[in-house]
Amino acid sequence: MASAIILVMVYVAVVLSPLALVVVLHPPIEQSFLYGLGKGFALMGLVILFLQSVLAARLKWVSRPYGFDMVIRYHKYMAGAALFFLLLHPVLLAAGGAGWQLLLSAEKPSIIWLGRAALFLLLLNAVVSVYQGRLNIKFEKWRIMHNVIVPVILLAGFVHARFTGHDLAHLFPLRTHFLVLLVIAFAVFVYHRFIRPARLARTPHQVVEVLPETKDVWTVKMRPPEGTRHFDYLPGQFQFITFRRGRDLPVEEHHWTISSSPTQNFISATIKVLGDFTATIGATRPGDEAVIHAPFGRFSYALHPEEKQLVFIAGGIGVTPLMSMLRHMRDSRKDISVLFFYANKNEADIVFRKELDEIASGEYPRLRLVHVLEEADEGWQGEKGVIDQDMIKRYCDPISGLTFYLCGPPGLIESNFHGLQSLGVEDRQIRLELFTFL
Amino acid sequence: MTVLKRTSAGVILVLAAGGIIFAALSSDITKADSGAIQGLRIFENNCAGCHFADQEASKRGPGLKNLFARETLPATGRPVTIENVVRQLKEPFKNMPSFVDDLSESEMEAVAGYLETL
Repeated sequence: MASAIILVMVYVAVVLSPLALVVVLHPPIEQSFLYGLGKGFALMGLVILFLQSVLAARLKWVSRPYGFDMVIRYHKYMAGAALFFLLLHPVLLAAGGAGWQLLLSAEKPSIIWLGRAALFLLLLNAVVSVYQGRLNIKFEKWRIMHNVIVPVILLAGFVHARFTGHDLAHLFPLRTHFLVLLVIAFAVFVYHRFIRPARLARTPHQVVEVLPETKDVWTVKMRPPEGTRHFDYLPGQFQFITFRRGRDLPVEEHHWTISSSPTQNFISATIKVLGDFTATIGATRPGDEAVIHAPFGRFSYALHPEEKQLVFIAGGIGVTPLMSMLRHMRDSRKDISVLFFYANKNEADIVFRKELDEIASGEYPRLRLVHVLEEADEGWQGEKGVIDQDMIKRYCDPISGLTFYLCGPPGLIESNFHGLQSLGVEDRQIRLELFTFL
Repeated sequence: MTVLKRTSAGVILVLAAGGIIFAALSSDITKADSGAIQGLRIFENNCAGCHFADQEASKRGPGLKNLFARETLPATGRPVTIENVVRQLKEPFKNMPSFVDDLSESEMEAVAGYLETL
C-alpha cells in the first residue's frame, strides 16, 4: 500500500518538476495568467506523454503494487489528461495574448506547424485507440500504429517545445531535464519492444499438450526450458505469450490467464476462440515454442490470506483465473469457503465442468457451485437467466464478511459490481479482473 | 476500479492545480495586463522557428542573442536600432519574409523591444 501511494506521488512530482524548475530558476516574465497557464499545461502534457512509455512497459516495480491491468488503465486515463492539457495549450496562449491567428493562420513558421502536427497525431491516436473496436481495427494492427505514431509525437512535441518555448530556450537545466526524460522514455520503449522480447525468446517454453475443453476452448500446457523450473506466480495472475509454431501460423503476442496453479509442474493457458488469431489455437502442437512474459496482475486470493469466505462470479472463459485459484486451494489444502456463480450460454459451454465437480465433492476448498445458463434445456436443475443482484442476495445471506471476485465479459462485471454495491458490499471487498486493455 | 478512477481524477486535479499555481508564479501580470501583445509572445509564435533567442549561432536565420550589443544587424548591415529592426520586419530581405500583413506597427516595436533584452 505504501509503495502504491509513493509511486503516485513520485509520478505527480515528475510531471510537475519542469514547472517547479521554471519558477525557481526564472523570474516572472511579462505574460498574462492565461498565457502562463498555456505554457504550464504544455510542459505537463509533454512530461505525461514521456512517462506513458514507462507505464506501458510492464516494468515489475511499476505494476507490482497495482496490477498491470490497473496500470494500463491509468495509462489510458493519463493519455486523456495529456490530450486535455495539450489541446488547451494553444487555446490558452491565443486567449492569453498570442491572438487567435495562432490557431487559425496558415502562415506560421514550420516550428508552429510541427506543434500543430504533433497535436493532430495525438488526437488521431486517441480517437483510434478509443474507437478501435468500432473502427474494426485489429489489436495487433492498432499496437503497431501506436508504436509508430507515439515516438513521432514525442519527438515532434519535444522539438516544438525546444525551439518555440521561451522557458526551454532560456533555461539550460530545463532543457537538460526534458532531454533526460525524453531519453528515458525512448530507452524504456526500446527495452520493452526490442531488448526484452529478444532476451525472452532465447529461453522459450515448450508446448507439451493441447486439450480441447469445449467446442471453442482449448487448454495449452507448456513446460519451462530444459533444466529449469517454471517461473514463480500467484494463482489468478496472467501472462503474455507469443507462440512460435511455424507452419505459416501467425506469430503474435497475446495475454491470457495462467489457468494452471503454481502447485502444478506446468504452465497452462486456457484459450477461447474469439478472433482470427485464437481461431488457430487448436492447430498448436506439442513441441511448438511459447515465449512467455509473466506473471502480471493482482487478481489472486493468495494476496489476502486472512479472507476465508469468498464468492466467485464468472462468465464464460472468465473462469480461468478462478480455476487457477481453486486448483491452488485444492492442492495446498486451504480451508476456505467458496461460493461460485458460473454463467454460460448453455451446458456445452461450461469449461472445466468435470474438474469443478471433483473439487466441489472434495474436502478443500469447501466449494459450492451455482451454474447459471442463459439457454437451459428442460430438465436443467441449476439456475436460469443471468447472474444478478437478486440471485446473489438469495445465496449470500448474510452478505457481510464475504469477498467477491468477478471475472468475465464487461457487461457481467459492470452489472454485478453495481449490484454488489447496491447490496451494501464495500468496494474493497470486490475484486475485478479487467482483461481488455483498450 | 473505483479506487483507480478516484486516484486518476485526483492526480489530474492536482496537476491542473499545479498548472494554475505555476501560471500565477511565473507571470508578471501587472506588466502583462497593460494590454499590449508582448514581444516575447510574438517572437515565440512568429520568429522562433528561424532564429535562436538564446544563442548567436544561426538556425535558418542568424541567432539574436546579444543583438543589441552588436553594431550592425547581421543580414542588412544596418545599425542596430529599434527602427531598423522594425524596418527589417516590414521589408523582405533575402530569406526573411515581410511581416507587414501579420504584425501591426506596435507589435513590431514590441518584438524589437524584446530583442533588446536578449
